[in-house]
Amino acid sequence: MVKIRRINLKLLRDIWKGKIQYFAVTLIIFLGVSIFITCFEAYQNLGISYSSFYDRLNMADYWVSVDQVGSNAVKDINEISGVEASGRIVEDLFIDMGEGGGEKVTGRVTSLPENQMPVINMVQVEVGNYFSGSSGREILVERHFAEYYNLKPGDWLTLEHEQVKSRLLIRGIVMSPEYIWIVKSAQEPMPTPRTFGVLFMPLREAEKLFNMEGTVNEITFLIAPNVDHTKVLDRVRTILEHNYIKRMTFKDDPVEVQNRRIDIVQGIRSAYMTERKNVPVVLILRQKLESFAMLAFLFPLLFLAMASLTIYVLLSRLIESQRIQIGLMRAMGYGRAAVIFHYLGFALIVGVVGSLTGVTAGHIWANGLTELYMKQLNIPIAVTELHWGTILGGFAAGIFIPLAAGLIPAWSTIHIQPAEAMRPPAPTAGNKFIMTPLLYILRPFPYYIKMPLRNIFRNFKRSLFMATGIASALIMVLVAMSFVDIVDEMFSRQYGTVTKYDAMVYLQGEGAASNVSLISHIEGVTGAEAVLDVPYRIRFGDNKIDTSIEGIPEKSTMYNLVTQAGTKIDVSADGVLLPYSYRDKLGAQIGDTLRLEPLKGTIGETDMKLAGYVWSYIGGRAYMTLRDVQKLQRDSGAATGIMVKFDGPPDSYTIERINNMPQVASIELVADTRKMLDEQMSFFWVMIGIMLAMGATLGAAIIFNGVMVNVTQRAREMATMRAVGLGDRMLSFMISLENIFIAAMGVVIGIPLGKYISLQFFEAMSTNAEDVFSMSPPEISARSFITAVVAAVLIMLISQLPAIMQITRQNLATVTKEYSD
Amino acid sequence: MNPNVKLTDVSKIYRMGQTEVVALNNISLEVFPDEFIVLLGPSGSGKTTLLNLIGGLDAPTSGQVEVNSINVSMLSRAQLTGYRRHQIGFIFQFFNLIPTLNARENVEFAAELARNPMTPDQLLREVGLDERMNHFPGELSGGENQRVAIARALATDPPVMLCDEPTGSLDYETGKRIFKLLRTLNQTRHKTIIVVTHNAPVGAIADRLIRMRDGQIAGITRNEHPLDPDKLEW
Repeated sequence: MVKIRRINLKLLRDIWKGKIQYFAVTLIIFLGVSIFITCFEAYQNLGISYSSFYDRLNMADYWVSVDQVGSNAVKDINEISGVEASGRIVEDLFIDMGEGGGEKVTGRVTSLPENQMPVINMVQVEVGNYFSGSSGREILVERHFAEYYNLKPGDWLTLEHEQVKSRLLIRGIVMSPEYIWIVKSAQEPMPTPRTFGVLFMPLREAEKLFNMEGTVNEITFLIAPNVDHTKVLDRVRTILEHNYIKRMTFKDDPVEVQNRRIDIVQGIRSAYMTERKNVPVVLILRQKLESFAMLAFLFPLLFLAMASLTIYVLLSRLIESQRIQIGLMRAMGYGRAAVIFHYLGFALIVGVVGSLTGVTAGHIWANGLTELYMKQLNIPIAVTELHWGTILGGFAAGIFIPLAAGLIPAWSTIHIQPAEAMRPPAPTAGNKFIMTPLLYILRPFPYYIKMPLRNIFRNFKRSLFMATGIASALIMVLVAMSFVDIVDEMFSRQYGTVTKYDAMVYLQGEGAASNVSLISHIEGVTGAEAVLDVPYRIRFGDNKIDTSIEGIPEKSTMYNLVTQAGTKIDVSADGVLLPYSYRDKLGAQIGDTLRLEPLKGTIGETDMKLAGYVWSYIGGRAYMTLRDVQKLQRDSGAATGIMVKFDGPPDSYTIERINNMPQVASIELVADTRKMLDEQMSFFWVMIGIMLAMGATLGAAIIFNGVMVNVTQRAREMATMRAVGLGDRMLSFMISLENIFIAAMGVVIGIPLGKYISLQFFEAMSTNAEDVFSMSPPEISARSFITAVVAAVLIMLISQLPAIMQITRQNLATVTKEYSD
Repeated sequence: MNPNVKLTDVSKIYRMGQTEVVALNNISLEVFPDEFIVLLGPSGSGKTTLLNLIGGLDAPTSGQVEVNSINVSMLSRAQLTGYRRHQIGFIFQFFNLIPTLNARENVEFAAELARNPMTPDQLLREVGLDERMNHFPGELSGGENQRVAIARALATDPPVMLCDEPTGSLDYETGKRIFKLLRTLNQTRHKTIIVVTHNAPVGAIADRLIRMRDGQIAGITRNEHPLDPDKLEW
């Protein structure tokens, strides 16, 4: 049997003696390390999984959109060495879901080769088959849309393009790397499957349907590894030039209006290129990934910081209580280094156990989370790898942070002189500077109030540590609750205050505002107002934002814009209203003049004053009066949509009548959007629950340790109080009261910090999401503050129970004789 | 015969803020191998300070402390650690055992420091604890605890043993047994033993009794026929 050195045996026995306290610190380290590993490995796994999925289905590296180009251009690009290219037709049309509920749905059709799977942007057939090749009148349906309408292979779909209807047979239900997440456009990043579906059609059929024989409007291409992208793009540019497309620009940098005018005069056509990283689906998935990366650092940092603080307090207390043992060790001939290493051993063991278990659990959880997440997105590939860099990083942090924290108290042992250590320490009176006035102020109070208050200042450092524990629990709860607030605020403001309509009727292209009177006369409709949404670039100085400007009627009863503070603000001829989230990006103040440049067409360029900032969430855009936007478009009757209010829930007849109007493209019911958002929130609520549980655990572990250290250090004093006749209830009350005072300190520290961290979290999230979402900073509600405070105090009251039990069960005869344990 | 403990003009002054407390005032003393010395004096007379200086737990303000030809006052901190490890065995009033280690482990705790350690089991048998080796300090009586502490002090086989009020927290009978044990060790193992006490009758068992008062040696008495500790009475 291996004989363990007695100094190490002492270390292990000491840990066993305070096992619950050491377990509590180990738990904090475990949580910190496991959260880091879970989130960061999940982040890495998901990134690899997405890439693997993209690679498996040969997702393109570049998309080039043109108005029309001959198929020979695709052939030429395909001949570039190391390049695989494919041409296709991508067009929107209507899907007539009339048989069911009279719905007209926007369909995005993408052509595919008829006889074989495409080489680039392949689809994965989930149910049924790929095109048979024998008949062109076949179609594949993307799974989100198919699921919503319960479409199966063998069903027929009626498509409508330019008033021409055609019926096609569904051959299969497919998934596509381009549509893992359905994005219709930057203005409509979250369409419901009720109103937007993706279809795949044989190229020959698409050519016929869209009257594009021998041509395509989108070229996608994939570049082999180690091939110079710049050279390929130069070649592609040359090929397009040979095909009369003189300008190639990236999609996020459209041609200036002035140049567009020149292009029209000179007959120059443009191609818009998008890199894979800027495709909306890739952007959204990356944004979701970033939130994992953010969680991977922020929470573990909080946990490990608190673990180091706890270790510092625990070791300080241990060293204080083992002064005589330290003196003895030194007297017996143990060197200073041996004593320092002995006490560092406590931090090391706690760190190693916490890190090892944390890394193991974190890795398992990361794999589970990756699989769960990919399952939620219905992606069949979930790559779960062992990321050694992350594992070692988490392990090292879990060991070195507690070791660093333990170094300060361990180092303090070198100041303990053996001769002095043999004598009991003089009792501490506390900080005189605070205690003297405190004694005076507290004179009229009874002893059971006076003592707890004075005790706080007897060892203020420890009181501060416990307050920090309460503050950290409060921060966790507050951060979680602030997310609830963001969602609540978003939903209640958007659907309670701002959006007063029941449905948005989208018109085909730029329709006519006159549809308002037609729709408002339909039975079941109580009101209708037109909107005109036009893509615009807004400039201020060197800053610019690509967005859209929505024209809404002055004094609209269906779209109530509000300021950040929640007060109503109307669009007026005075200028343009911008979402609050643009304020920092543009840097413009109210009254500044903005340059408005249309992203399409050659008209509508103007300067306009910034009239104010408004609250907005997903799909933030600028607002002006409908009349002003119509003026800019030089079309006084233009509209892109009609806001409709129904008399109660709309029946299928009302919907069908609106759908049957010639200019109507689709109807988006607000109730449907809300339902979809609620479904997407399920994962979010699980995360909130986990955060709350972690907050409670962290707080409980710290407070438990703090109170244990507190009462064990004062065991003799408390035993004496009991010996002179103080009842257990009164003693418990006094301990609780002291802790409540400390909790109050924690609340004072935790509330501003929690608010600050919540805002930082939000900032990081909205920065990551800025390409897709536009969010306004959250206002943390009184409910959240109260919940966080009550939770922190409750955690504190529960966590102190073991310490109180220990005190009331101690042997009075023994404890009153000892001056140290 | 050469002394194995030699103090020459040793003074120790503690500074507490503005005031100076003279704990030892110009003391010179020689202790010879195998001697059993009792340092007697009231509280504050400087006897524990003297013991601490000999044990290398504290440094003199002036003067020289030599133990087995080692000038303790000149040793570095690291050398002092080695000195205490190999030259000195300490026995304290409150035993100062490690509460989380049992009797045998407490002795092993010290034995692990020695170049040629004594066998812990044998030492514990020698102090009469062969049946109680696996008991923890909390499970032993005061006398048994002090026996463990004596065994521990012997574990590194030091030539000098320093005992600070070794029976101060023990009852009369137990105290006598401890002194008997110390005397036996002095005779059988040839240890130089210096015992600090404020209990005057104890002086009768010593080879030499050194009386201390106000940081100075008030008198030295040589016992030609030291009393058997069994016959001690106080």
